[in-house]
Amino acid sequence: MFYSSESFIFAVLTITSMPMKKLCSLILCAACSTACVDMEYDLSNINTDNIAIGDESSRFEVPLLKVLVSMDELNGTDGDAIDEIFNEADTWLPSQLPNQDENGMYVLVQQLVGNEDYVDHVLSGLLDQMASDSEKLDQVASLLQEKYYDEFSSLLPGVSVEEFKNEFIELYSDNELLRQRLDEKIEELARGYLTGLEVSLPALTYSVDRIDLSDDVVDMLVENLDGKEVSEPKNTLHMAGTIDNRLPVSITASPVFTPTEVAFTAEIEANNDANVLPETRLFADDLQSIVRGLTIEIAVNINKYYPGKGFDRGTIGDEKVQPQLTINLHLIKRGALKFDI
Amino acid sequence: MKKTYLLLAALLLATGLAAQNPTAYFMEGSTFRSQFNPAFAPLRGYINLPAIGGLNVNLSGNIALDNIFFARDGKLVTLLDSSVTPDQALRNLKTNNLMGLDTRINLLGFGKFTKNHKNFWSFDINIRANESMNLPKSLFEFLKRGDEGSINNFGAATEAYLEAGFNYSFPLLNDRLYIGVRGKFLAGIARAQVNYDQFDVSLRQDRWAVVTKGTIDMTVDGASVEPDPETGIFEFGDIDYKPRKPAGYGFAVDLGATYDILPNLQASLAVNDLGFINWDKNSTVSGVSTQEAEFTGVAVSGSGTETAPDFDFEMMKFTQTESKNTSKMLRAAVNAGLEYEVWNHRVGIGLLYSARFWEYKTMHNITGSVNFHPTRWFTLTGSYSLLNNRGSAVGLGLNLCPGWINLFVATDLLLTKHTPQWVPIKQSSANLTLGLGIPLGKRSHRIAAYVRENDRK
Repeated sequence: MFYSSESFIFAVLTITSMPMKKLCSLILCAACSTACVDMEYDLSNINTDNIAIGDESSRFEVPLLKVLVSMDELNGTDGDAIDEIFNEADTWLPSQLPNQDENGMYVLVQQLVGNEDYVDHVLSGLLDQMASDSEKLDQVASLLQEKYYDEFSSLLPGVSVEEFKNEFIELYSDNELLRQRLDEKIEELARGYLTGLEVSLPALTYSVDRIDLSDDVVDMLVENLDGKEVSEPKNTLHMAGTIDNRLPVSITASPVFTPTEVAFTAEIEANNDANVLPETRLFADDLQSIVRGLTIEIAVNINKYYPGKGFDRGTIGDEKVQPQLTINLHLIKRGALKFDI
Repeated sequence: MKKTYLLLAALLLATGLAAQNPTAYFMEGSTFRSQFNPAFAPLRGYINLPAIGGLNVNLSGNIALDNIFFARDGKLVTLLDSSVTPDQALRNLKTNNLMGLDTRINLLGFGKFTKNHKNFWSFDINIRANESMNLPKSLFEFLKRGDEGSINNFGAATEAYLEAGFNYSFPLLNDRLYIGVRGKFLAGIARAQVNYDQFDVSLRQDRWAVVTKGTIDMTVDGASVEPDPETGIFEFGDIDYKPRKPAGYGFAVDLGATYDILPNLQASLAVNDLGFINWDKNSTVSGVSTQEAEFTGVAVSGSGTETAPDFDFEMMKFTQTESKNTSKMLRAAVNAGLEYEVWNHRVGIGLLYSARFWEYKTMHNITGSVNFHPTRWFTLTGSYSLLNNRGSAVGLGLNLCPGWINLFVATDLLLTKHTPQWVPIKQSSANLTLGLGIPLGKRSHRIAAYVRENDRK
């Protein structure tokens, strides 16, 4: 710094009178002394290995699969569709059921199949309702006429099929002695049907040729995943999703995704469009296998049945069949997406 | 692929080596000064040393290096590194992040005063290289946070050409007005431009989608590309070329004037690089990136699955289009200066406004300078610049022109924190001007204070 005009003049005169070599050295020294080199910003030491979209706190969600299950695929072992199976159950079940939740009254199908006391309680309700509810009586009489006429030939001899329903209703209402015998038969038939309901439906199987994600996108998702050995992983990939269940039955669904070992089990509430599936952790190999093609095998166990809710076989747009179960699966990537540039 | 990146690297390196330095504007002995204003002339005729006769690098923009690079564990990482949090990365970015680089390397240069010691002519051959780019903040918001959104108007442009210029300046109005004109013949070496007008990204749970509208143009002799035969797609690195001759020709002029408002007060004005290069379509590869892709997951039902093309972001993937002859204007610049001389022309106080019309934005610069020239062969200049009303730079310049050498150096890198490679860290502009030549022929009689009795021949 120059503190006066005299010193400045002296400096200038000194500079202009010194030999060129010394002057150049002076300038170089001045430049070096004033320069401030920050070695932390050495551009020859740039690391571009860890370029990513987002950071450790990021969360990305990627659509993956949508499995559409129609009514025709939900069959019993003998091929009967699920709605047909439960249509008859509707008749054998009373309006007042042993269980109730926010979706309404229901029966536990597994209890019907395996718990005599539970069935006794249900059938007792059925007979009580038939005695007091003409609509229920009419409903049962119709079923008997349609399907079980022969079973009543000894109790109602000489009654033709056409006359069966009216005769049955009249005798059931007016003849108390006969009613007890009719009740026993009805109870036998109802018990046989309800305890024979299928708890487990045959597994649903779907093949997916491939998931339409490019290798680059898959790499973004899996390249920086933490391994199994990491105790508190931050870069993880999970399969998650929801199930839209239009059926009046709650189910336990257990999909298995082969050739991987990815599997999960989910409790699916009836008539609920947002059943949340548990998050299932995936590793790089899993996703890489899944996008190359997979088979999904879904075991379905029926838990609760809500009579009266009905099965809707409706169509959507252009007569496309309305799926009864829509399984929406997506990926959740926690941590940054690896980005190769 | 590597070849194209090498070309780009070479263009960038050329920039790194050598472009308009406000600190050098008032260094009156510099042989480079007429590049700022063709009405300027050095104090004596000269011949430049080849290749190092005049190097000029100008970096200007609105982001600094420490907005892009971050020191982490002894290494330098980019703002895209996962160790840089989104807040750290985005904190100092502007809505549009601009950067421009202008390089000039003088290959050959000489000049001479005529008999009257006032008319001056010069001839020079330079390599010029310009790069400019615009990266909007929304792009980084997507890259750092994964925010979906609409990103538009981003891209980069670069061009390199050879210019051969003849400059002539002469006095009018009894020496109060000097007019200078430089005519320049231009031979295009290479150019490349990638622009994205639209890049919309959606990263939702039920839908990943991308819509892009972009273009690419690259012109260099022998340029060709063979797109993937299945997809018809090519990437930037697929472009091949065999440069043996210029890929375009053009013409430009620099126009300038100085006017002595008062005996010690001089105003100067120049408009430089008014011209164009017509790039040859036969040396041009053009392409468009128009993609609308979405992935909503694979739907599978009892009737099977519906297949679709693989979802990809498809950045920098193009479909070839027919190339056209392209005329590109040069990046014109305006310099307007005012200098007041005191103490019998030993100290000058200067003010310079300059503007450069980059591809994406015009960058403005205002520089104040103090110029010490106690003797005619020595000038020391200090300057303070404001760039686009923000950012500042302190520059120092030195010109030595005794009888046997012309040396000038001016930079605003000395007093700022910089990398070992001399790139400023916190400053969004950088300038370096350097040149070496040999004085020849008659001395200038334009500045009365410098005229000596023995010069009058």
